[in-house]
Amino acid sequence: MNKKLFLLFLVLSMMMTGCAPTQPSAQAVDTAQVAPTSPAEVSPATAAVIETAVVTEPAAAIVPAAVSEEPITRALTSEPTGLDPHGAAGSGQNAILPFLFDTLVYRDLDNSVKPYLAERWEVAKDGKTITFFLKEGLTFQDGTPLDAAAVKFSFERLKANTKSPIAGGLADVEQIEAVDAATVRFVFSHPSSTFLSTVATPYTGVVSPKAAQESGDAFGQNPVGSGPYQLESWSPGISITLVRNPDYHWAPPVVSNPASPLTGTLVFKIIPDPSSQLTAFENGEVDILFVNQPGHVAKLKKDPNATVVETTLNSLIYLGFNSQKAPFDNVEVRQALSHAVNKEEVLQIALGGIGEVAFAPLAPTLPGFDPVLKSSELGYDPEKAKSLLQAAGFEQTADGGWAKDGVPLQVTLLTSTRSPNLAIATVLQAQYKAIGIPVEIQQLESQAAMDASSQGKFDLLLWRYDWNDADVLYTNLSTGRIGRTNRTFYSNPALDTLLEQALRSMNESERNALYLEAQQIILRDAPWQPLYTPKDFMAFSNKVDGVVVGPMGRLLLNDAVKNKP
Amino acid sequence: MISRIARRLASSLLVLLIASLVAFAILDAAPGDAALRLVGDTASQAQLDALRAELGLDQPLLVRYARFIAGALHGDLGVSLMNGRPVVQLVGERFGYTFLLAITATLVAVMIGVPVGIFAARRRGSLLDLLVMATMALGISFPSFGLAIFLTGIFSVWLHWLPVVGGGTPAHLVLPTVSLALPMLALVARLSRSGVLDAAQAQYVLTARAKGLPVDYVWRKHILRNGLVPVVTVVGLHFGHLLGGTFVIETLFGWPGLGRLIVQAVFDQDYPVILGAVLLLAGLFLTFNLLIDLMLGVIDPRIGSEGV
Repeated sequence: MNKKLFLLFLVLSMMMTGCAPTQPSAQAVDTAQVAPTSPAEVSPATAAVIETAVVTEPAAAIVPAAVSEEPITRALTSEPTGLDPHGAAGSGQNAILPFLFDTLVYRDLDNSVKPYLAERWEVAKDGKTITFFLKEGLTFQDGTPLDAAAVKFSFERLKANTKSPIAGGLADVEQIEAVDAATVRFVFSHPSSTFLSTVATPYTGVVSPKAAQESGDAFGQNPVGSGPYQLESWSPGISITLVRNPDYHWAPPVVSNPASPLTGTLVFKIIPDPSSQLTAFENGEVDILFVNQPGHVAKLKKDPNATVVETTLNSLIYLGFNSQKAPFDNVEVRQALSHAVNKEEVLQIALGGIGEVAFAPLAPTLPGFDPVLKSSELGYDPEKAKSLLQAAGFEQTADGGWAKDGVPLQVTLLTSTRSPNLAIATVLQAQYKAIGIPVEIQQLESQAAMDASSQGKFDLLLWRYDWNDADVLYTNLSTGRIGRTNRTFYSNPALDTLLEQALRSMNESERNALYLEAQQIILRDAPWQPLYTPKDFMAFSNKVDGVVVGPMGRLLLNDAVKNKP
Repeated sequence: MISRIARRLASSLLVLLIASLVAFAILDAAPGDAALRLVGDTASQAQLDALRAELGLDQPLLVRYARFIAGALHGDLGVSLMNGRPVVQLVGERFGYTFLLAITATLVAVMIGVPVGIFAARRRGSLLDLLVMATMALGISFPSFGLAIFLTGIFSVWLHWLPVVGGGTPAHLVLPTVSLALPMLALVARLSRSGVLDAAQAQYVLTARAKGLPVDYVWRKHILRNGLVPVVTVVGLHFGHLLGGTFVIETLFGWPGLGRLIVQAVFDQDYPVILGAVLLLAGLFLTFNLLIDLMLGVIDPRIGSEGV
């Protein structure tokens, strides 16, 4: 009888746990509440520690010890396939490369380009030469000097790698010269206004020529750069461990500690499932994670042990119109459908208010963005939408729809299965239905959606770009890119000329003026209706102090310490 | 016996060849372009064409397939498009983890499931039998991933006994093993029970008892041996499935297995890796099928003599 009771209990307890899965995690949050310290409270102290560290330990042969032996752990959704900055770019790589490799310039918190390995740079009057002057005393993690010859080697290696995602950004570089040990000169076939943006990406990280030659194809598994951390070990599928580079002393002023990082060890744990990342964070297995699911953001914001930081994205979600397919080859129809969109409603309903309504084709963080463009926006105005449709020859039918020459106006909206596209598409569908345009949503897997859109198999396209410079307009809207990255098949010689000029203009104000004019044309001709700029989040444990989050969620951990005494 | 094995091997190789052709053709027909994915949006058409030529993507499907097979026959499955590492090496790195997880899950399922099934069979019709079988029915219908979420909730987040994610230590193995083993265990227990009960009703059991053999002896020699034949078949097939189908559990627990390698390769459009891993799994599945058949022949000699 006892056995029977026990089994009954077993069955019942299984059922109960089945009904209340969230119960244990809620309790865990309560029990794990161990005197959180706010980062603001402690950071001045951290700064003090750094100062003394710098003063008491001059550039002598003594290797300064790490202030904290407690490792900091970050969750990574995808494992990098390799850590060669010049190789093929898989996801996940971006999060680690900046720790291992330094770049000539970097992006400051306001997204502007600032000197890093280069102390300064000069652009020749004709814009065809850019000269970088390197800081003194730079070394690679293998002890070899990081000089002009090494920079030349590194960029030539990058240019020769056909699989690099920024191969296009260096196409105009004709020649690289090491003028003297600390001066390196890039000579261009045409002036290239995107070059500095390209150089600020982690894909141009300077590699040790000695290590690169010795490792050959295996460099991605044995990376050697000059960054604040170096690779210690890599357990495939599990984690990547970095240790501090004791010789590092050229951190950018965005962090307060210019010397070697305070924390001795960084661990990147590969956790493909976002929910598992959250559970691992709650269980104390992870200190820092990237969050983009609204539910997870809300949960972490309520967690007293977590700090949630918004990260800036150079991205835009837009609604594109197939500009060479009737009736969208008529600008009035594109304008009409632009006016029918209520962006604020899209943001509130489909995205829970996370993000920022966009009015310009360039994201607000990109150079060339101008708030003045707000006045050129085709804002929400259903009456204007209707009158524009009438101007384009459409007549309202008895059932409230629209038709031209007896052909009813009904459209397909193509988008990828990526979240939250369906939610946005559904709101748009309802908004178009309200003015009498039936929309059929077609969702395809990402690759299939890319193929279909570059072949123009759609009427409306819900799409996004993520790019670090204003040349995204050239890539996405110039005539030469039709069939590949110009998915809306928009072609306007006047715009092409402006965008090409902007690519070649090395004068910032001139370039911005060109992009302003280009954006006004785009808004008027309406191949795109910009919808919103997304936001992502980084969350970190309050046990970690001194985390700096840069543009695009780049983590700077030079000042970070876990469990500060 | 030997000629039978040889025949089975030959047919397995043929199946493998067909599987490779199908996988190759499907990957070729799938949307997306590996070269386009690599060079990025800003590259010019010339840069794109150069990369296509470098990767051999400008060649017709049959030429590429022939090259692939020629390499495969020499044990060379090509290199990853992403990092240039040999596919054989990449797959080898991960396969051990998947194999370990499949083995532990199967062992747990068999070592608990079979005794539970026999126990229930011997007490057939009792309340205990009913309870055990009801629990097992629940176990079969409960998906592994749901179990995984409950288990981490209890043992990691609440009790802090076990890690949520990772691999490499025995502690990391516990939750994924249990998550995979429980549904299988339930199935094994039910099959063991019904198999044993079927065997117990056979005429030879009646004969054995009639000639005065002890009950335990009859159970051991006549009932269990015959009753467990379906269990062996199902466990073998299930094991094969575990090798290829633990992706969800691997993802939830961050377990560094082969399933995750394949999915990452799909996202990266790294087709040599996908192809290599699919071939390896197909090969293993065929091997295990062969082994099960041979094993069944040993357990029940009639199966062998009839020439399966």
